[in-house]
Amino acid sequence: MLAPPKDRLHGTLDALILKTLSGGPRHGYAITRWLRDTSADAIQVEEGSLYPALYRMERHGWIEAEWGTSELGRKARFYRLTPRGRKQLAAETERFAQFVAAVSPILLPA
Amino acid sequence: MPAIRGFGRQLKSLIWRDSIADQVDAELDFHIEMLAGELGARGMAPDAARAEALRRFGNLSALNAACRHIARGTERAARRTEYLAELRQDAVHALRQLRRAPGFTAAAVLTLVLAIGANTAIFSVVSAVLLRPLPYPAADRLTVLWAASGDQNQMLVSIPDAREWRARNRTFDDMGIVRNQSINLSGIERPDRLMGSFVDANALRLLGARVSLGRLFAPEETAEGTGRRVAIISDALWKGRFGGAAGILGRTLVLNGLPHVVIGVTAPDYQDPFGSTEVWVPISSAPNQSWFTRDNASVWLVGLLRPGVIREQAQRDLASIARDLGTEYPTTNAGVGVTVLSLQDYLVGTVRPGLLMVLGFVTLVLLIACANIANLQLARATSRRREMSLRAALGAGQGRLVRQLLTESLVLSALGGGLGIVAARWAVPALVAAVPGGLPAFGRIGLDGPVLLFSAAVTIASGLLFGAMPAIYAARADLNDSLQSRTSDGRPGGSGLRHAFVTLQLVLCIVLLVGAGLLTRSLATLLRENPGFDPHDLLTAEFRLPAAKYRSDAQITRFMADALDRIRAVPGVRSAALVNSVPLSGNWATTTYQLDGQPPAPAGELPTAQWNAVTDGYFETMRMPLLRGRAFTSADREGALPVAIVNQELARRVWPARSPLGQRLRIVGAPEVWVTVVGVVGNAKQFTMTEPVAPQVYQPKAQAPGIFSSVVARTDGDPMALAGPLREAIWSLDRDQPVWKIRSLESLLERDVAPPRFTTKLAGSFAALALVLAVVGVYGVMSYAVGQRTREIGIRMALGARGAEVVRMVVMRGLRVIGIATVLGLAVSSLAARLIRSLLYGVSATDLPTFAIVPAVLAVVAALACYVPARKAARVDPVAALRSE
Repeated sequence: MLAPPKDRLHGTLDALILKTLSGGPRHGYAITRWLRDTSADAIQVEEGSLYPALYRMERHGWIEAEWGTSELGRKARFYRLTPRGRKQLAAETERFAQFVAAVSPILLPA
Repeated sequence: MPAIRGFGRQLKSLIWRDSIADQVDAELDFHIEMLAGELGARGMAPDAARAEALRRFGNLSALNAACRHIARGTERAARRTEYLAELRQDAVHALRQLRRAPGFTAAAVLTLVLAIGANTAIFSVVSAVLLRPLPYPAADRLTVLWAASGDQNQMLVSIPDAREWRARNRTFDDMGIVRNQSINLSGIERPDRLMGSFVDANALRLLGARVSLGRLFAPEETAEGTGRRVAIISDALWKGRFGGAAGILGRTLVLNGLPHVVIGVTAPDYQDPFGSTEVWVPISSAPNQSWFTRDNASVWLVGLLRPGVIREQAQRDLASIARDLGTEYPTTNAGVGVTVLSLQDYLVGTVRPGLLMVLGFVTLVLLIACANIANLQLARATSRRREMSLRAALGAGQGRLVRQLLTESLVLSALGGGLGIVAARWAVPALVAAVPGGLPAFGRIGLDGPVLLFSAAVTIASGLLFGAMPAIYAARADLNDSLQSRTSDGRPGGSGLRHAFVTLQLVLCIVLLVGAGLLTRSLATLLRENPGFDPHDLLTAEFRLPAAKYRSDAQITRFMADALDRIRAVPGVRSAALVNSVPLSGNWATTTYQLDGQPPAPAGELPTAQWNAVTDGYFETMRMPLLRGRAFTSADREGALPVAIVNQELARRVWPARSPLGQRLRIVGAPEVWVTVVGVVGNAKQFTMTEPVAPQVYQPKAQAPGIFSSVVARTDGDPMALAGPLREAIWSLDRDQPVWKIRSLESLLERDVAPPRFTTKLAGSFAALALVLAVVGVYGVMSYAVGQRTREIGIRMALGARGAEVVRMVVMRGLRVIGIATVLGLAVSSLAARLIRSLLYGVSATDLPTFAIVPAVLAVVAALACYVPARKAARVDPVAALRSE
């Protein structure tokens, strides 16, 4: 069964953030940079959505936050993936793959 | 600027301690600055770059608030998790600590098992008897209505009066008529007496009676004139005597000599509040037509108050109706008042004071137990100061230490409470079975939801009570002082607190001892009381002749005389007599009387006396002293001069200066008769041993015939051995005549004093438990004090003090505490004793012997508890004591 669109959107943002963090701890700004760079400017995460998502995922225990020092020597809040977050990422990726597999033959007939 | 802003933020966080808000601010700030930096690097002017960064964030304050909101939730959850983890850790730690001190743990748990177990057991009774709602619809509006006259407030009401009350009142929804009286069941193999209830249809409806078979009475079936001979039987009677036979409805039972058709069987859980009724019949089937006249009080009523009406309003309403009736029917109703009792009060009013007292006792025992354990904890706390200091040094905050110690106490109380509840589960049935005469409880007495809730609350409260002070004290343990060495000053900290706890224990103990002492003195007075007759080797029994079979007074008198002859002929019966109301049997009657030469007064203003009808040989059989004149003889029969015998009290009141012999009295009632006093006998107890001495008047049974009679027979040896022959003697006259309540008079006397004996025993046991706990408490504190002062004692002895002086010094210190506690305890007791005044008989609440003996006993026992550790102190080896530093 496919999830309703709103959830799918949420889940997708969560999955993107979790994916970003799977490469190592990053602060919020670095997450947006990485997503933008990796998607060749295609994905611009809005800050207004990013932070609530981060705090929400922290609450779920998918990520942990810790204050550290940024590359420029400033204090910054770094997020790190937890084992539970890793599982969540795997699950989201799987769901997304199913979604694509289900939708592709219709929208993109060969 | 960032540095200053950062500083400002740190300062703010120091002042406001709102770390979440700060963190969110800092995080978002960082992002904005980074973004602005990036834009700046692409060539934007700093101000414009910052403005653009902010624009991208949109509504910053809303975002900020949303993040804070989520973060707070996260933090709360984390704190909860941490708290639970700590709690678990504390509980595990507590169990380890308790295992490490098995002596202390065993003593504390045992104390708690006894105290919480006793509280649980007693509360389960209180809950079932006093707190549980009665199993009747609108039970809080149900009342019982009686007539009242003089000092008698639960007198029967005449049926015509009952009708007037019902018709004229403005405070009741409805009223119903009830009279419970035994009913003869005959026409079967073995005639028997059933517990009967004469009712109108209203009464059963108001009481919410339910049938499992058939139906209840219809109004016209119970009304005088239209009444029908129908009956409803109880579920127990149906299943017991009739084996649950299917054809019970429509079957005819011979009740009081008349056939009645069974029309219903009550539901198994329906219980008559006025007794364990087995058969209900319409009031119209009354055993005697005189039940329906105004000059014969024969029933009581159940009344359902109108919603919102309180008992006092109803009382006023009916009292004014009773006054009107007094004016309308002066000969029968003048001076006759009314009593409105809530059904609840009627049922449990008599046991409430005793129950509440016992509950008070166990509560105090629990407080003493808590004080005891608190002191043990304090002693441990002192020896555990190093542990506490170490933990504090390792970073545990004071609050954290208090919490850990409190958890320890709560684990302890949970152990004691849990086992106490198990113990109560076992004790409650035994307790309930031991209550003489049973308890007026509806439903099971046991550990139900409310009781378990109470026990859990008591358990937690106990843990906090005995844990709080020691925990605070221990956690405050001074870091510097204790890490270096154990306390070495002569007076270790906490001794004030310890003395306070011991004083509290002793005060409460005195209160309990005084209470138990008063009850014991009261019971002793009661047991010494002379009933006015010799209860040994006396057999009693009751029977009631069916009015349908014995229609004339002559027939009744004939039967009585024949029965008496047959009973006297039974081998082993030394003498026997018939009497209407055997003392202490629960039967009794009163009459009003008028003196010769005095103008007739309205009924309510005449003096009253206890009334009894007896045959010849009664006073001799009862061994009541004949003080003047003669006893009744068989010549005092119908047609002869109507005579009476009065007791000493009536003679003293009425003819203080003259001889009562030959004086005439008018016994008011139907038929009214002038009697001549021919003798004076001693006073006797009639209803209960605790009743005050009352005027009594006796008439010969043959001159006041009635269908009801009791037998008294003085026997050779065990009276109960003659129970069978006595029954056979009556059956030899009439095979259908049931005989019941075959009992010894000693058992009646025992039954009468059993409730106070039981309460006193219970109170005494709890007071003894309190004494043991208090003495253990004193001993513990004194031993501990001696142990702490070993060095001081060693110095004193090295300086030449002798053993005896050391003993005196230690004992004196203990006596000071005991002295203070005694003074306080007696003061509190004198107030507390007033609360149990209603339970005392022949002893005042300020009984001097009790207030003198109790402190003496306590002082001796407590001094002994001081002496033992003092002796130990005197044996201190000064060299060893000093070297131990």
